[in-house]
Amino acid sequence: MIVAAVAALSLLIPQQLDQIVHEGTPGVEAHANGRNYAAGKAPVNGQVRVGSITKSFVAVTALQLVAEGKIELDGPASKYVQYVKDSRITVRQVLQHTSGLPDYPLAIGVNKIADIRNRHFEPHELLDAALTQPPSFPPGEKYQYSNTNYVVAGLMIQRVTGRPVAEEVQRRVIDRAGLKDTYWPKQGEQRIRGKHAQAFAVSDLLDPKSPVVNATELDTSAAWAAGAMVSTPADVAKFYRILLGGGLLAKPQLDEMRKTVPADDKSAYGLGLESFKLSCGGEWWGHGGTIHGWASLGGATDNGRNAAITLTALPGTFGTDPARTLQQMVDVIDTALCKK
Amino acid sequence: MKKTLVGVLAVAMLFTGTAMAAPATTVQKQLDGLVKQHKFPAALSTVTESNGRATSQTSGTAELGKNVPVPRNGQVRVGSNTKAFVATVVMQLVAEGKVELDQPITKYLPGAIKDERITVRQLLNHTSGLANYTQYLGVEKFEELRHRYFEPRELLDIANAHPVTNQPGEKFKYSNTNYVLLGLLTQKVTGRPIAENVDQRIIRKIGLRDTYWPGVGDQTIEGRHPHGYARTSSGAVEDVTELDPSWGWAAGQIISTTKDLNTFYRALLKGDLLPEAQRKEMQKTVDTKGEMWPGAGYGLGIASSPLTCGGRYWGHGGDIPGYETRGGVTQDGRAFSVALTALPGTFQDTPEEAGKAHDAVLATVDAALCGAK
Repeated sequence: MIVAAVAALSLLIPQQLDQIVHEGTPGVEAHANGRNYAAGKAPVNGQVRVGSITKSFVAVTALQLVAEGKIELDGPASKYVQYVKDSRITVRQVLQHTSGLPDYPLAIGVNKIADIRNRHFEPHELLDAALTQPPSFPPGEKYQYSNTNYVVAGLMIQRVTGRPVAEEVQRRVIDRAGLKDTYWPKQGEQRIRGKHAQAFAVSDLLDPKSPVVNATELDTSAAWAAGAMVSTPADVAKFYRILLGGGLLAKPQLDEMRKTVPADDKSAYGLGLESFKLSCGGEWWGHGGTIHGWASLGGATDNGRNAAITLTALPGTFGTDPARTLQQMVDVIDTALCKK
Repeated sequence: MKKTLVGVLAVAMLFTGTAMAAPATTVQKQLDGLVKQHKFPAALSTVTESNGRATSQTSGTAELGKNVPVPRNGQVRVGSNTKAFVATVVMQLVAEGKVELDQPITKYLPGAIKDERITVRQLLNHTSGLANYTQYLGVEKFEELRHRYFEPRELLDIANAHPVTNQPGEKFKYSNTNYVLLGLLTQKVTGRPIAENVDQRIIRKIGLRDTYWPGVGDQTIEGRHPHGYARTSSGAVEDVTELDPSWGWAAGQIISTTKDLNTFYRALLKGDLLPEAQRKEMQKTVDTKGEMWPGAGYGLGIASSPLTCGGRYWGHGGDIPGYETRGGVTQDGRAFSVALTALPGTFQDTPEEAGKAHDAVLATVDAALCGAK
């Protein structure tokens, strides 16, 4: 009976992945509770750019510093990053996307991959680009996802530790969780180090009809602490399992991380961590990440089930309905976390 | 300890006055003297003849308190020699039409500094008058900075918070801030990190196998190297080989060897790295008026110094906690570089002794370039 149950899950996920590939995505990789899956043009558990999943790593690092008394969660972010002029903005608001800090990616032109794939940005250039715009809303008024928050979080971590954020994330999260295939690219690094799929993106993200290009080689300094990291589905799933199991944060900080504000009708946002409803009841915790060429989703439940999926193209790249592809990704995670 | 990183230090003013005669000596005797009389733990040097033949020599110990052979042509932090590398990249960009020497820096980096009159040239030859951030960084307590990572913007912010020293173009006043701005300029117009620019446009181009720009957060020296020493604010001498050089960045981050420095300055002056017009611009000097050693003129990221045997040599020099380097190349293409594993003042108890130690370093360069074997 146990054998039959495992077979059921291990068959259902391959079917779901095959369907995603069948509809036009070149490749898909997934991990569910210790098993790796791949379909189409993608190696089993190859390295992928996880984009905004980086935010969970950065938030964990920041919350460890809160536990150490080096960062005040409800203190002003301006205490750590002087460029944040509104002293009402708290560290919590930064980590929760309720700060009102305007987003920067379009201001630096990330939509056109040719303009940014070979371009090195200093973290402060990202912040400068954001802060030439007016605040989106008064601090604390509402939730609105803004990458600028995590650039601020990265600079804040550097300020209080005196070390590069990449090094702090490596030492405090990647090493501690034993994520052997996960790294923060070095300055100027544009290739992916380990075995990996080729990833594809439309040349202008704002124009779905623009030509598709190979997006695999990319300078991710434009994403920095908001999305620079490389990982694998197995490492992403393991990270969230260990995080929710208390392996990276003490209980008070993990509790803070899980205090959410509503994001949309299906999810709520904590501190660099999002909760999603499960079809079988309850919820799972994780984060999504999209960057040129890659779309990822990963997380875990309180009882230790864990999963991650990455597509080698953003939903919609090959003419698919983006909302439908996104739902298929969520369904794979739901299957992995719900099905016996 | 104020003199850190300033290859051509303000403190050098204290060190002037001693006449430099080229004695009948050998390079080995000079190195031994630097170790025995002037207490540097190690001295390393390379002579490169005009035909390219290089001879590297050493003296002292690689580790204080032990008898560890100093690796021949070992790696050292070359501090402000980095400026010559960065200036060369900027001049390549000038040759490519991407940067104009006499345009204001704010044309390329809007808002980076207040004064919109300051030109790229004034940054290159230290006549901008911009406050030198290293004066305000707290290097007196180097132990507190040693492992600290700085974003380049943080260095610029420190400079911008302090008063200028002179009107743009008025006079020579050495300021590391100038080269932080030139690093940012290079990144802005090329879209690539300054480290990658230096690596591709210079290091790989002329095959400097032992030279590199340490990556973000890298505190080690990767190849064979002697240990470097500095004094803490309490007066104790500490092994500072490992440190985060981010506070030097485009003003002083590079690791190299005496042999590679010779190869670099030879290639630069020979015209292997720049078209003639840009090389000539680089050699237009301003009077350093007591800011450097006697008779020194400063061009665009390179300095010209007189030799006791007549003629001049071109180089830069560099000081960073743990290491001092001096040297350059003469008109006939003979080059010499020397590295010490402490700054003058680390093992000398008085400013006078420190001054004599620095004079002895310069005298070694002079002797070698005047023909000492």
